[in-house]
Amino acid sequence: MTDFHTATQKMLTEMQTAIQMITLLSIRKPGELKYARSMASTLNLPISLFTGNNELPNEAKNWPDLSAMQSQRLQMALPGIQVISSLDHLHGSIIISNSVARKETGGHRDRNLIVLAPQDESGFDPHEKKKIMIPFGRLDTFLKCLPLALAIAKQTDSTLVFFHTTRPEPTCSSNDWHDHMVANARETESFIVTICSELNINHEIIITSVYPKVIAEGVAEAALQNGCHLIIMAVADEVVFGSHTEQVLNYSPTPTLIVV
Amino acid sequence: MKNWRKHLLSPYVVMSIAAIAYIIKFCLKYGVGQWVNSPALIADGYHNFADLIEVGLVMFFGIYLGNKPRSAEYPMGRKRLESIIVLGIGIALVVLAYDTTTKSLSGLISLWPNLDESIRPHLPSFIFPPVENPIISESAFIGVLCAAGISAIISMIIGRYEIVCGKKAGMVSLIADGQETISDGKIEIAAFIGFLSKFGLIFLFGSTFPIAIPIIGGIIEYALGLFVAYLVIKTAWEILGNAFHVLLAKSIGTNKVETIRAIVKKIPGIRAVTDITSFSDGHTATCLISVETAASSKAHRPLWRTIKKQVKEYLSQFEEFMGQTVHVYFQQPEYPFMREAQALILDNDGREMNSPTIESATHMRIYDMDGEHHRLRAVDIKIKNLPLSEFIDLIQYKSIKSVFVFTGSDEERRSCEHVGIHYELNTLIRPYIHSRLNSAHL
Repeated sequence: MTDFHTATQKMLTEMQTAIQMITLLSIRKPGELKYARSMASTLNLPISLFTGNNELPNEAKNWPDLSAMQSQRLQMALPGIQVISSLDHLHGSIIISNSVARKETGGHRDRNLIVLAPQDESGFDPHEKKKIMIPFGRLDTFLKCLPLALAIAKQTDSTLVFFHTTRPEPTCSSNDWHDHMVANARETESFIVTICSELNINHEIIITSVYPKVIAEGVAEAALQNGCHLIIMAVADEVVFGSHTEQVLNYSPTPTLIVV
Repeated sequence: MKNWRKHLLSPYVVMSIAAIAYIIKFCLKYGVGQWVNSPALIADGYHNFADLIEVGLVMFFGIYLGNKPRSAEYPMGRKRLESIIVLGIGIALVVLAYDTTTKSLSGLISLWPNLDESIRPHLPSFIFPPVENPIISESAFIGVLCAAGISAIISMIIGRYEIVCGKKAGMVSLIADGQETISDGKIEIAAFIGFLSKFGLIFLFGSTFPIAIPIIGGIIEYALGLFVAYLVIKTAWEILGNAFHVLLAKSIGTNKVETIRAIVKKIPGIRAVTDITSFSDGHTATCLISVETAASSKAHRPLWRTIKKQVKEYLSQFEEFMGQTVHVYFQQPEYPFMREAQALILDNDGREMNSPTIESATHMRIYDMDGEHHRLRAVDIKIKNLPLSEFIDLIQYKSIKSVFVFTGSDEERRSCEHVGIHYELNTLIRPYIHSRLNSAHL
């Protein structure tokens, strides 16, 4: 219980500093800009757009004002968006990009980024009660994304839907999937119950088995069928190839936020 | 106990019980009809015999053939056979209502002999049938009364039973047969009341009021007949309407279709609902939904299951749809191919900037785009010191539709627009994002 208490306190501190900005690295699709705007207004965060280091190329020395002119015109074209030339603040900001999310879950994961793949959606509906799904299994991976999920849930008054899929345990004859859960997942579940009640956050816990479907497909389907607006997942540190998170990005049309 | 209930609700058991009931009714009416020498009762017995044949048709076409699984030859199954049977039952009910109406009208007019004599000779017997006025004894009266009463009770119970089981099994032919049996029951109740009022009054007060009592009894009997005929035609109208809706594949309703469209459109990943074709196949609503999605093919399966589940949940709210079939078809958005070019100043150290004009550019970045400005690929081509005319030739050769510069020049604009190429001012450089992340050492 003391461990839980310490973890909760740590979580609260992390929650407060979890995110400070929404960042666009480029406007690859108009949908990404729309999603960033919607997310920023829901979470009450500023949006920044990275435009490069603005250092003039050698050939452009004849136009010393070019960089300033470009920034000025960007500000006019995209009102309310802060133009940045450095990526120093990238930790602590949500990068909105489908392509970055796909790349970061598939390759080397030593960048410690928070990336949101909006998929084909253009943002939260402000009039709708929001639901956020967090698939869980192992506690250590789950803890990577929990502060962020709690912060977003608190800010948006969303319901957190904790989803766990278990394999049928051959020795267990129970029809309740809860009885088939492994020890690690049970530990995570108790932690969820404790922390959500301490922080007074609405939550649901779904324990099921998607077997024999691919786990990622089961997660994608559960998110759709439970009317979730966002999936939040973390990439396990020791997974080298083919993480569930990477697969969820392929299977799910629901926007997915990934803690790399 | 559960097994018994299951057996009792089986369509074959229901129809077998209905067949036994029709046999009892036939025997009862035919036997009593022969005893009191009443052609009306004997004819009604034959009507029940026709119902028995109808039960056989429902069992064979509606239950046996109609429920055969879908095959390559019949990809939508044979469920519509049931509707043909239902159509037949509807027509039979119209005939029954017609018969009851003409007999009741004829009987009603016969109560006024002068009026009857002036009308009857001018009308054929199928419009104005002859009126039978049997003179029966008190014991025969009890017999007829019992025959009509028992038949009515049997009809009402069996009809109700058929409807309940038909609704449970989702079989329209069974429901229609139940409705027809209940209509028979209503006619039998009317006959029972009419007979009771006519002969009961005669036996009780016939000697005191020999002229008035037969007229009052007759009015009650025939007016009831007309009312029942109205009820039967109402049922027939409903049954025929349903059968036609199924055979002509009528939509489940514009409002329902629009609600389904809204439900499906709300699911993440669905860009548009391009088409919904709906019809009801008996008591089963069928929806063919075409959706446009840009989601990967792997996402189609979860989407397919979710659409099916949500639409079925919505349709199950309606009592008229006991079953729901949903088919989902996915379409990828069509991307019109487009190619754009951006004038840039690049150097060997990876620094890049929008070029004010084509003349000042060192490179041209060409983007292959889809219809939503989604870049499919980009490539840099060196254009440093390239004369404007050669640049125009190059972009025409590359099938480029738009050129972006930062400030622009009138001469370049004229040259581009002369060959039908858009010359536009642009602010953002659109490099590959990944190269940016890598260049920032993240």
